[in-house]
Amino acid sequence: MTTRAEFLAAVRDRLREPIPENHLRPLTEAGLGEPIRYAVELSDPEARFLEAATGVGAEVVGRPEDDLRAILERVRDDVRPARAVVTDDPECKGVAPILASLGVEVLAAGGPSDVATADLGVTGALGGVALTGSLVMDSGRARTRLASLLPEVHLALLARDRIAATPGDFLRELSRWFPDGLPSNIVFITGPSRSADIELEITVGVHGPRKVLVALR
Amino acid sequence: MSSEFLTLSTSLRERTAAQVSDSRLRSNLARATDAFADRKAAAYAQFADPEEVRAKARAAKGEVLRRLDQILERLADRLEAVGAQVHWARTDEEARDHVRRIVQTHSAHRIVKSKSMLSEEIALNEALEEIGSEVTETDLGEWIIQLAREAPSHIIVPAIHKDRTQVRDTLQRVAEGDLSDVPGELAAFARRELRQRFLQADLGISGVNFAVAESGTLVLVTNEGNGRLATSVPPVHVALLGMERVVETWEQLDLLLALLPRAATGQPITTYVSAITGARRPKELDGPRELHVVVVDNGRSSILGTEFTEMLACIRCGACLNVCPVYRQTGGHGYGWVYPGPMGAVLTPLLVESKGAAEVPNASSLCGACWQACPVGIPLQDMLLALRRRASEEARLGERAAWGAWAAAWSRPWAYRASLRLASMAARMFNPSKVPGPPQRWALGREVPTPARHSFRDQWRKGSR
Repeated sequence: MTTRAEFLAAVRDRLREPIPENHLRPLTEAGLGEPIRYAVELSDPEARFLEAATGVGAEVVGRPEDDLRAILERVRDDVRPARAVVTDDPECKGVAPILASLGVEVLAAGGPSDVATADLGVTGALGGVALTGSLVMDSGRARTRLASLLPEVHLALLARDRIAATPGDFLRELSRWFPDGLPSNIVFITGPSRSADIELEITVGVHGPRKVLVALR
Repeated sequence: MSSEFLTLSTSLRERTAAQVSDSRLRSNLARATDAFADRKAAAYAQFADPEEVRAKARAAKGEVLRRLDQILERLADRLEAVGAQVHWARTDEEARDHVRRIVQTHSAHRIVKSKSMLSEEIALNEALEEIGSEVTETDLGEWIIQLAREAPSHIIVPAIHKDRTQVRDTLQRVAEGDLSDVPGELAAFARRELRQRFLQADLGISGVNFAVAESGTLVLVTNEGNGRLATSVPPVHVALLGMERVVETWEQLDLLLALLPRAATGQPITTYVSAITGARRPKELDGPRELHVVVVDNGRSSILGTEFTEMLACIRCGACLNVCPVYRQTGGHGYGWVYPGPMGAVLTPLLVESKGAAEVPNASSLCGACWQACPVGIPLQDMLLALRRRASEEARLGERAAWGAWAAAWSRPWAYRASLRLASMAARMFNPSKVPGPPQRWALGREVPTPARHSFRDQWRKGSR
């Protein structure tokens, strides 16, 4: 079996001489410089987030001024879930008892076969991305990565002051978002699960949620 | 390779003949590739200056390639620090052995896979089936192809060559009731079927779109969610990493992450972008308990340091396929191996040593549309030309002599004129498509032009008298 040292030595060996240049199209050493400049209005991250998220098929079911109970009641009436799974994200505080009082059985997050029986997954979001309408999930806070994945409907609660303008703004500040180091799983979620593998026709809910609901807090 | 579509032992002409005359295939391809081009333009319009982003991404890849050994070393250190096990594979055989050993250690009978072109490259499924494992491709397009026992014909949309009724007929093989041909209903059927397999799986296999060396993170870019499932539900996750798919920093990743989905499908971002740093942590309730990363060379280091080095900057978006006039007529299977289109026509002869592979760069028009479409600006047409030159240097003596004579003749005015007169006479005496041997082979599939009886030069001289 090849060892790390052998593998890397073979690579190093190939790099002893400078790489030949294509004189017509030279490979410059230009540094990274400034972040990507976008031709999209980003001065109001919250407004752009809502526009982009709706554009990719997520539904906005609550604004910061809305009462949590009223939001969950609307979701219950719309989705009619029998069973919900709720994560440990701080934004989810208070969700489980309200859902229970609304007649929804609430599961504690657990193994895949449990979570798979829920028809609603309620999670917090560590942050959002305005440009793309993405939600950022952190497996460390939530303690699970399946609540946003296995149920047919995913409801995410996102604090309005945690929306980065662009993916790059988020990625450049990872140490601020994750002061204790990166969790095992970060996922940017942008709208419901989709496939275009049959005649490029967009179909939603292929493997992940069919519906993504967002409530701003 | 198990698939009848993947074989470089037949000639390029044989492989493409059937496809070019399949009008259904050609209309499926034209519809899909046109749609991609439109969506891509809209997604690029979000950049204030798309050319600036491309130039920076190309430069970033260049920086990584120049220091690839150091960056891979840093990646390996970080991966091990976060508890991943790193395996090194110089060859495809070694890569298969690593995965087989992990599978056998865990007695993993049921395996779910998320789409990975590298796994196609090393023919992993066959190797795992040989030791008795049941491998399920879970990307909808890949599953269709697996059931049809075909090879992917596009690196992003593997079943691009099939229309809805062909997909319905394929899925019907594993369905109990009758399926409709509505894409949404077919996708729902796939969800039900595959969900059970995810929940029962012993091990999940994925590719890696990008690895970030500074934190030891694997980044996966998917739309369906099968990539998340395959890397979250089973107790063991094996990730296959092509050794060039690494970046050093998250800043570099930002550039490539912005370009990949825009160039591939015209999306500003895919539905899911997963960043995996190690296996499940002690307080987490789910996620794999073991993470294995198999770093694969399989010929890549032999490209490094050559005039083809920049091919290792390829991020596998498929944009060059969608714009290629040859791919759009033939589809992916004619290229004979796992990577089709212009990127495949460059990569195949560099990774596979055979006469069949050396012939693949001829399946191009050198128009440069691929280079224009490439988000990281790989000069594909320059490489195709260089590979053709290389193949011609290894060609038979007779062929080399013929090309040499042509080059010599057309470098001298008198010989050029003589050759035209000769061609004009010859064309009137016999038709190359009727002359057995090389002339006939050359004429096949070409419209042989009829040289004018009197050349332009002759006419000019007469007219000016």
